[in-house]
Amino acid sequence: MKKIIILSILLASNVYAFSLNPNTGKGFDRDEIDVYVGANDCSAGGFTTNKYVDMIKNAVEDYWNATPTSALYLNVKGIDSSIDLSSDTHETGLAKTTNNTILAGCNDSAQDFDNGSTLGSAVMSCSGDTCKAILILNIHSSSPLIGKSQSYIEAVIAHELGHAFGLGHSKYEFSLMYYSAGGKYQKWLGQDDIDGVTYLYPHDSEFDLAGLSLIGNCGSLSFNAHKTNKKSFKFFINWFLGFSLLSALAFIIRKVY
Amino acid sequence: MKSLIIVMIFFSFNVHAAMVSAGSYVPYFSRAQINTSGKTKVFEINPYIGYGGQFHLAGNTHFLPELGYAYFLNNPENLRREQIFLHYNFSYIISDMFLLRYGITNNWYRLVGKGGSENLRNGSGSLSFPSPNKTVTSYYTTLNIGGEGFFGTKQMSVRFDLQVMSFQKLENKAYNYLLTLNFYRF
Repeated sequence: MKKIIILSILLASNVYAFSLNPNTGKGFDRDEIDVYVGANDCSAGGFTTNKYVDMIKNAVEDYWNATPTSALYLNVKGIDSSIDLSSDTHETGLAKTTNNTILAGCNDSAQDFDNGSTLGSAVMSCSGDTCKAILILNIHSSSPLIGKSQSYIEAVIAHELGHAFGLGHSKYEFSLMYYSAGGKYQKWLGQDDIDGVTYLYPHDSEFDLAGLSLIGNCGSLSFNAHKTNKKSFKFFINWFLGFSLLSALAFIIRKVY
Repeated sequence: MKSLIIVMIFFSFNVHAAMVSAGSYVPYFSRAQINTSGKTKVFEINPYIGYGGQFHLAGNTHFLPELGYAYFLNNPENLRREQIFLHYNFSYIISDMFLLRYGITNNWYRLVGKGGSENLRNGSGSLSFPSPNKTVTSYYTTLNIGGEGFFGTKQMSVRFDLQVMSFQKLENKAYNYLLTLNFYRF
C-alpha cells in the first residue's frame, strides 16, 4: 500500500498550469482565426518570405491545430502583399493588422524587442469582442534565431502564435509556452499548453461529433464553427447524429444475428 | 429529456449485468511532452470511476453504456481539471475470458479556473500573467477500441479502452486511454 501511495505521489509530481496573455486575459471571440504574413523580405533571417509561410503552416499543423480537445483552427492564408513590416514597431504593425486576424512578419531593425537575445515577440490587442495580434520574428544579424534549424524556428513561431491567440507563459520548461526555447527539444505541446488552448477555445457544443468528421471546425463538411454562430442548431444536429448512429448500429447488429 | 432518451435506449435491450469500474485515465497518451528531450506521456494516475450496464443485443454482442468520471491528480493551485464520460460501447465475446470492445464516447472536459495571477519569466525579467478565472467545458467525441479480460469467478475483469480523438485527420490524431478494474453483478 505504501508503495502505491509513493508511486502515486511521484507520478503526480508534474503539476500543469498555463497563464493568459497579460494584455488581454482572453482569446479571440471565434474559433477560426486567419493568419496573414507581411510581404517584406525575411532573407536576413535565413529564409524567404514564402519559406516563412511554410514554416507557419507547419507550426500550426504540428502544434495548435493538432489539439482535438480544442476548437481552435488557425487558418494560414499566405502573404498579404499590401503589408510591409520591415520598419514597424509592434504598435505600428498592429495598426496595419485587420481585425480578428493575426499578422506575422519579420523585422531586422530589432528596435522593438526587449533585448538582442529575443527570438521574436507577439502583441495581442482587444477592443470589446474584436481582437487582433501581430507576431514579429527578430532577424537582426545579432538575433539568436540566425542559423537555427527549421524545426527550432517553427517551435518559436508556434510559441509566438500562442501569445497571439491569448496564452501567456508557462512555468514548465518542457512546455511550448515556457519563456525560453534554449536547451530543449520541443517536439510536442505540454499538457498545460493543451489545457490553455482548450480553455480559450473549447468545443462548445454538447455531443460534438468533430471526431466523426460530420460537424466541426476541422472536418471537410464543416460549416461556420465560430462560437457565436448557430450554436443551438449545431447542438441539435449533433444529438440527432449521435443517436441516429447508435440506433443504426444496434439495428445492424440485431439484423446480423 | 436527454437523460430520458438515454434511459429509454438502454432499457429497450435485455439487462444482463450491472458494472462498477475503477482505474486510471490517461489523456493525450504519446502526444503531450513531459521533459525537455521530447519524451511524451505514457502513463499517469488520474483516478477514474464508472458505473454502467451490460445489455444483451444478440449472439455474442452486448451494449455497454457507462457513465464515468475522472479527476486529475496533478492540478495546480489555480486550476482544477476533471472529465465526465458517457461511453456507448459494444462488446463482442471472443472467448470465455476475453471480449473485444468498440464504440464511441462523449467527453466533457472541465477546466475550473480559480483566478489570480502568477509572476513568470519573460525575456530578461519577469511579468505578471493572469491565471484562468472561469469554468470552461469542452465537449468532444472519441472512437473507442479495446479489450477486456475476465478472471476468477468472471465477475471481475481488467479492461483497456483506447480512445481515438480527431480520427478524421490521420496526421493529427491523438489518443487517450482508460485502464480499469471492473466488478460485475449479474
